[in-house]
Amino acid sequence: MAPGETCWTVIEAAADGDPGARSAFARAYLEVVRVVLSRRWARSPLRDAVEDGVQEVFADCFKAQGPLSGLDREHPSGFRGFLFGVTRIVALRFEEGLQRDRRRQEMVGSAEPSTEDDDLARSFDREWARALVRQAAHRHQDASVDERAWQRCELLRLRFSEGVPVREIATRWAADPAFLHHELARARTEFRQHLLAEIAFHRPQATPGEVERECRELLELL
Amino acid sequence: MSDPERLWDRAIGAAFGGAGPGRGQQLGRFVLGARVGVGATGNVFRAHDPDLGREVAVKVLRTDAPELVRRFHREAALCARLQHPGIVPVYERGAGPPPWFAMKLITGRTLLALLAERGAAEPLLAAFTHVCDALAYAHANGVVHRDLKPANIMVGEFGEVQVLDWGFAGEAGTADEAAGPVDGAAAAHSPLGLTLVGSVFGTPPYMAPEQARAELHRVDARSDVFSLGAILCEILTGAPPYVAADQAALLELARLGDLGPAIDRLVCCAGPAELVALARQCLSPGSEDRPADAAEVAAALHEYASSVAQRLTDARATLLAQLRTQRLRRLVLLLGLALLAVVVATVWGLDRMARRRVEGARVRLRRTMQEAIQQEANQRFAAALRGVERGAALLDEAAATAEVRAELATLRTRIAARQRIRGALAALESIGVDYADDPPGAERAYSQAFAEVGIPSNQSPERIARQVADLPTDDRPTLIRALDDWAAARFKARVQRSGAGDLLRVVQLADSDPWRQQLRATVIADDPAALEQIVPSGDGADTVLLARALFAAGSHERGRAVLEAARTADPSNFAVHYELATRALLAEPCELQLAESCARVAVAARANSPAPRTLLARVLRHAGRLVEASALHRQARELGTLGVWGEAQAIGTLLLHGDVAAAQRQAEALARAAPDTAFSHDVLAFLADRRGDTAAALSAARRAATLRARFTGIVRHHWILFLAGGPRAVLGVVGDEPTPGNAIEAGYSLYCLGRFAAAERVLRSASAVGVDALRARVSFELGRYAEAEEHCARARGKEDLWVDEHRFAAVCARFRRAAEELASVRGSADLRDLPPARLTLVGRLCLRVGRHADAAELLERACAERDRVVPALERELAIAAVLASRSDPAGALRLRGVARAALERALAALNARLRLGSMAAQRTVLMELCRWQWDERLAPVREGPPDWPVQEAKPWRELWGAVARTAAALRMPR
Repeated sequence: MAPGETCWTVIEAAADGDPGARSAFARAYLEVVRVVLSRRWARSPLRDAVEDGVQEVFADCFKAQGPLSGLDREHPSGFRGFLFGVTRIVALRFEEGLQRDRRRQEMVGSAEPSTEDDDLARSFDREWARALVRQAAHRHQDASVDERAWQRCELLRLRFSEGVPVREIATRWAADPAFLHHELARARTEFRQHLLAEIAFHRPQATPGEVERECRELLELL
Repeated sequence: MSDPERLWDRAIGAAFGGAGPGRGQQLGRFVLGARVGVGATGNVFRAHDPDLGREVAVKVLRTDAPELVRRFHREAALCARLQHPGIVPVYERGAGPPPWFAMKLITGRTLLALLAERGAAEPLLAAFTHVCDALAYAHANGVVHRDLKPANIMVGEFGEVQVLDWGFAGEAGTADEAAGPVDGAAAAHSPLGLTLVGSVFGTPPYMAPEQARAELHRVDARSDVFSLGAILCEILTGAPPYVAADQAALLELARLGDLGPAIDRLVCCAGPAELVALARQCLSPGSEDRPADAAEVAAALHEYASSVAQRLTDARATLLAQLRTQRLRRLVLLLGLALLAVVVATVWGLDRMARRRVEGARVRLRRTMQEAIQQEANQRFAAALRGVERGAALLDEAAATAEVRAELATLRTRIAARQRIRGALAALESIGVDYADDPPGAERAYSQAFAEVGIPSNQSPERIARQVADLPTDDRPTLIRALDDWAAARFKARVQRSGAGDLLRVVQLADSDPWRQQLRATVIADDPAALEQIVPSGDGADTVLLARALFAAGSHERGRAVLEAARTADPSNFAVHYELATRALLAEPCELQLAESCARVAVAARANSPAPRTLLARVLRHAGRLVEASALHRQARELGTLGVWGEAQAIGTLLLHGDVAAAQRQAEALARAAPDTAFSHDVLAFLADRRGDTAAALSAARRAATLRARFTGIVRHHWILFLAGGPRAVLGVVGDEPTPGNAIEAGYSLYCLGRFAAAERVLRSASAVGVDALRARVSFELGRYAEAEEHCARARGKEDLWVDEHRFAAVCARFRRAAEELASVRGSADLRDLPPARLTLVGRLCLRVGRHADAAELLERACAERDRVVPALERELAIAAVLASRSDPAGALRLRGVARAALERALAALNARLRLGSMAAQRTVLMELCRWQWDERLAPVREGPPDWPVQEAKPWRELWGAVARTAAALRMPR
């Protein structure tokens, strides 16, 4: 991440057509949109249109004179609010299209898509939280330039993702369990710093206290 | 362990569990190293193969979406099957999760990066030739790439070339899992009618039109050939075929296959003629006109390379021969002879060059004329005329004979005549749209368009009918439809019923179709019930005629049903989709998606007509897609004359885009070209108002007003005189004694000023459209509810009412009953016990009978009881509070506070309504705000006494400032 770079600089560069920024945008956020739309439309005829929906969100985000142009970047909901807004508009647009199509074709018997905004907001917030911690993990891995730092990342993965006890990891790696406990604590601190950095990346105007508070809320969502 | 720590543990688990494999992990036998590439769905890692001791690349999918997994495996299988030096080889794959495959590690730079440097063309052409060879191999094996672009072409340090990213590739002749549905029918009937995944993920600047339009059954090797042409175009001209500000606009250009600018660039570029011709052939919009596959493109490139090599060899041989000759001459010939030889050679060379130049010019002239004839056959008259002019510029250089010059002149005359007639016909198709705004202007436009076709409309009906019958078969239906539209527009505007009847009699004579004869007879008889009984004929244009007659007679639901049924029966009919798009755009709430899809069908059905493109531009403009709208206006202008309505739409788009200077230029040009058109003066007035030049604004607005026999614009549209100068300016133009024709404008202005009795006096003499609805409003304000109901009944079925006007009769009836009850209630104390449901009604009644304090109290309670803000009710509360404050000095400050709070709530609600985005909402909000700005009962708080305390004056100033800003933004022409 370049110094001074925020989610807004990335999305503005993407809107200007920068392929690297578009790629970074797609990597970070499209999975959130894809999962949210997949869940929302899982039992509706729109389940086959998820990729279309993802694509529409992508296109709407960068549209000239689109939502980005009139956006208040200092709004408390930040970039999350922007992406949620675009996703919601696209979802509703598709659902309206389906309803109209159905009225025209008099289709019956298919399950309705979930149209509760609260559902969409909850689902979006959860996926957003997941995306941010994943991005933090990427940051952590990218920052691990030496072998020992990389081992700390692997230690986190084995311990918390695969649930392997520290004692067993120590046996596998032929290492001292006490040393691994020490490394694990250090790795947790590192990960925490990367997660805070990721949140600040999305809320460039926020104070450190606000970032801490958002971090706590994000953990609750997972 | 504390709860926060548990949360952190869970977060870390989610973070690393979902992060996918990373450095140091093993997939198959490959040990992952650094991540070297990141995509939307997967990562590419450098990896080590311990068995063979080599470095490889491993692509890992990051998602488990079934569609993407299937596509990923398919890419691996295709790349493994295609064994070619130009296609990256796949070594091994794993099913996962996560799925992965290992392939050759490629180092180098993409063609995109090389193109960005704008270096020498030769290495780029060499790389391009390799790409064609690789694609030729793939096509020979039945594989189509479908996402070919410079970013997917890797050029190594030694010039080796590899085509990457076969994730969207498909196999000819097999079901296409990569791109979703394969047949056009499926595409057209997908639940949403949207672009499909396969095409959406393509890259618009390099996309063939059939691919951009999601006609997946037509996507084959020739679509890749188009992409090759696009890359060649970028190598030769520095830019791909489509250039636009954003992706959506690019996709639209790709859908439309708008290659005019690209071809112009190619023609003007300095590249070799053979390559320019090859690029043009590859970029043909119709796939059947392109080379059949990449092998043909590669063959052409190799042939070109051979011819270049041959030319180099010949040049060298010639040079050597000349050297030998010179040596010999030096030895044998005298200096004079040598000089003579040089002179002779020079003269001969110059002569030969001149002859070659003339011959080349002749070939270009002949080709240009042929292209012009072809463009004429395709009805692209503007382009054909440009071709003719290019040809004319070559006449002298080609030393053209008198016959050729005559032939070119005849061609020019013929094309110009056809363009004029086509323009007139196109103008006739769109005049009806703005008839209600400006009937005299529309009458002039109709007469002028008929005169252009050679039929002056001031002749006897029999003569006009004979002339229409004598027209070529192609043009006759358009003229008959135009006559029908003209008559329908006159009927709708209610200004020339007898004139409408005359026109219908003309068209009855000219057109003997029995179904249309019956329809016209019913319209002449003015029998709405009989009109509703008419069964559509099955013809699209006839259906539109019927629908328009139904709408004009007030049968909106039946009219809409007729159009919907016709659309279902004929999903590609131009007239039906054009009409339905217009209706959907004007509906409340605005049906933008339906309007856009119908307008697109209309564009596809009439690709060479400007009118549907102008309509689509209007829809997109309303959706905020201004870049696309501007592009469509440009395309429409390319196709022919836009007419006043089309120019008006284009100017409106420029204004919304903020391109004020261009809008001013175009409006001035329109005012020069059509000085009797009110619209151009409206725009000039608007622009003057916008830059603060009120005097110029009012002058231009008055000019517009004098051009209109009656000012329907006030009520139905944003009329600049009203908006810039307010009701008093309108009254200044109309005068103290308005004529019956423009009394409605005077009445409406007085109504907005709150001078209801004066409004009623003026309206008694009025007879225009909308007068009954307005009289109902005025009677209502004067507390005469039974009269208001009578006016409503007269308006219904006769006038094209807004939604709330339909409901107004019921409101009047409720007030009449309540007024009868209120007559028995004397004191304010009795009113305090009213149940919440009665507060609004009685409060409003109190306002109208002058019990202002009671009205303020009841309406304040009524507004508080409601769960949503009703702007009109809040306005009435504000008026009641302001009026009450004048007779209650002690409570004046509080009452003015109540008034301000009410208006602030109302403004917030109006802004929320604007976010609905419908044109009707914008119109309603603007008119409501105008009433705030001009109602004389609100004048005390609008202007305020000079000695107001600051704490009271400041919030009022802020409120009126916000009102003025919102209203100004809504004054934009829509």
